[in-house]
Amino acid sequence: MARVVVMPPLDDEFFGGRDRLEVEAANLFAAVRELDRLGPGFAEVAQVRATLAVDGVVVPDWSTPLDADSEVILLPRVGGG
Amino acid sequence: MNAPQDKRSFRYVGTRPVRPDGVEKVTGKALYGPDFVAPNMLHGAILRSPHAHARIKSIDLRKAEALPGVKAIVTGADFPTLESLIMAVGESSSDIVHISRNCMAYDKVLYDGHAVAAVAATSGAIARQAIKLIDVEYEVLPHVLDIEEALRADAPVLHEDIFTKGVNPKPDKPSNAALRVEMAKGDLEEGFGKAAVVVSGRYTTEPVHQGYIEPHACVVSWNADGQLQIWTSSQGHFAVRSLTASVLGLSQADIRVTPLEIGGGFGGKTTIYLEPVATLLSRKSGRPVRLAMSRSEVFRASGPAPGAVIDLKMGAAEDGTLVAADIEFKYHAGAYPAITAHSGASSAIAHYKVPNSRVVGWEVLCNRPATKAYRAPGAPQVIFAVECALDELAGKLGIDPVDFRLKNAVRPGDKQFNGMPFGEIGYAECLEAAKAHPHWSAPLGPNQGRGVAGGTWGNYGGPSTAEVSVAEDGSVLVTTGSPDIGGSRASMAIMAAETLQIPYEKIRVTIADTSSIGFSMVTGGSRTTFATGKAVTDAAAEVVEILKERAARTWGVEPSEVDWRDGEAVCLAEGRTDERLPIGRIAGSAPFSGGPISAEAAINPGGYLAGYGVHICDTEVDPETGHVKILRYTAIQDVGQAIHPDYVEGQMQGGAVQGIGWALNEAYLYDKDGRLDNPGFLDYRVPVASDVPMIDTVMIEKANPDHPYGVKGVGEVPIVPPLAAVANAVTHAAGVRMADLPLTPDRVYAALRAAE
Repeated sequence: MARVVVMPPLDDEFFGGRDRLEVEAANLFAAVRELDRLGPGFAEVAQVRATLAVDGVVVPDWSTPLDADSEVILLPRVGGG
Repeated sequence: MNAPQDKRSFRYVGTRPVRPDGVEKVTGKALYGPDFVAPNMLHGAILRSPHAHARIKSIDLRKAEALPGVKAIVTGADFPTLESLIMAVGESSSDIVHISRNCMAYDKVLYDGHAVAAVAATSGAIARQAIKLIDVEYEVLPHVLDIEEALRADAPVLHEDIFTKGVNPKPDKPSNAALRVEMAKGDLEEGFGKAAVVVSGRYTTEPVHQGYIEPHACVVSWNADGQLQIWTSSQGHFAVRSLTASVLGLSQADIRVTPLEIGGGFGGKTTIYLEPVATLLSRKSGRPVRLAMSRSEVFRASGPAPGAVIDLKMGAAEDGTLVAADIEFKYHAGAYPAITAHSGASSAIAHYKVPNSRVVGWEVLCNRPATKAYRAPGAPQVIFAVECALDELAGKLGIDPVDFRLKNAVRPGDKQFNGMPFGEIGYAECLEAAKAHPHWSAPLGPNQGRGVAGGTWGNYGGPSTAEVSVAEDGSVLVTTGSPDIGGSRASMAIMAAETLQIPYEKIRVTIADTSSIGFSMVTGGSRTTFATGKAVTDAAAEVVEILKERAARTWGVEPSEVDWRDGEAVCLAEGRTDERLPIGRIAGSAPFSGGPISAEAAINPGGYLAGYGVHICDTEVDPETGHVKILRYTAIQDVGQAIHPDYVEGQMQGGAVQGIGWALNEAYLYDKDGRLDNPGFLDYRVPVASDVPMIDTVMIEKANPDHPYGVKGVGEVPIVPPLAAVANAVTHAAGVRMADLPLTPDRVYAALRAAE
């Protein structure tokens, strides 16, 4: 099970305030699908509102495989000027 | 490929050649948004709301339609009804319904200047005359402009369908609080318990406009087959395409957006205002239509950065170690939700190690234009408060303010709030450079004060496409989809020259339209030199491999027996090491060695790194008038490897001047009815050349190891420190803490008198 850390405000908005979750997922696409089960509606906005990091590194490619002990961090996307 | 540690190994990176688009721009030949003309073009004008908040009861178009020369009129009723959909807008996102309604109001107007109807006519004069003939019946509603008033229970609610996001449980009543975000760690009570000194206070900033010289403008030509062309100036023509398509329910492939030169954006041109309106006018009239905002319209209807109210408490131990920070900030969202609270919360104390902290951010709807990105969106306001508080803490502890910051600065390997380790960041190096700079120890005269402040921005990567092709004579064409805002054509050419090992002047860069190159995200967020530059480098590297292969075919050797040096293939085969094939000869015979030589890279790179800056400002306060003069200003920044140092320094200087304007002068002035009183540069006072000294720059070139040429991104950071650098300088000159921006003479004068 990959551990998922959910950063504000996504934790309150989609996961009832839970900021530590676990998902069984082979890659980040699958993780997002699993997260949608825990927080309905999340998958619909994930690509435009979230940035994903795996084991401390931002990963733009969501087909990146996850290990059982991977840590996924869910960050809100921040827009620049 | 990692960046070489020795930057002297570069031949072109780090040099300062003439920009390839310079001559067109300085001779007035370059076509900007309002310059473009299409044959048989109509001229548009937009009727805008005179009310800050009103319900549209009816719109009577009959008199306007009857005016000779009027060819088309559109209102909100001409726009498709859309379902709520969160769409990417640059790096962030917005609801497409809000984008559409911001282009043209439907049932309600939400701010003075909100578009209500638009006319296309045979001349601009007729179009402007026609909009005066449109009769709109409004039911004027109570309005609210102020952040805290908008949060009161009895405040007029702008949207009945917006409920505060980011709170749990979800609220059951609509609210002007569009978003709440809280980031907390450690134990605040325990942290403040360890503090030898604690400071607290309220800080405020006003909404400020990006102040780009070129107004929003576009020309749209609709064809009878449903395809259309848009010529516009923006920070991202792919975003113009996708947003226009979504607002109007069109296929993106039917829309071809050609980027015109851009006369400043700073984040404010990452969205759309005019394009769907001009499209509908063109569809109705069957002719191309130009819409261009006047300066007044730019101020009334296009997005400023949010103003802010920030309440803050910070504590430090006797030795200067920060132990706790409790910050709550509220930002204007304007008429529609924005998402600057995320970045404000994540930037607020991101450049310091604070073990116990809570940062709460709010976005508050009010009857002002919808806020939009402006360099480092969301960071300058809250960091203004933090850096002022650090100044006070350092003063109370008797520690040099630069040393105080150095003691607490984040360094590579430290953990970010989200748990991720910092990469090769250079904040400490910036602070060391500030301390060593002669400015920091220069003497000051009477009524003069010196301020220092730091700041950060996370920077970004994002998708980019680039093509590199070799012409028959061996010169090279680089094509990207990234509008050139700050000299990126030159930077792309330099990186291509470095990779291909051919002279910079042999490379020309084109910004292609949306139908001629694959997708690129907006030029914004300090991402283009990083991400599009990496795409260019990748494509150029592939071209080198093709050139080597062609040389190998020509020579009848293996590709592994060919090297690439100084723009030519070098044969490594035994006994043939004196053979060379320059790029021009390989390109000239390309049709006979396999065909044209080109490569495309389409990437979404990670590996971007945050940037940091430290600014030092000297001011002199006139005790009789409260006028503040900027005497000396130094901007120091961790820029990664500077590809073209002139344009890096230009970004640093431009950001600093915009920040000085934010600190000293700029503010929107509304009358009691919520109408903007100063929609022009005469009354909305941005700094001019005579207001500021030469901005000295110090580039700290700490290369990003995850970019081929060490790029980090530079455009956002330099607007973050100036607000506090100026305020701290004025505070020291005046002897009284200045916590409310802008520091206009009347405000400074009042503070001086109050302190007597």
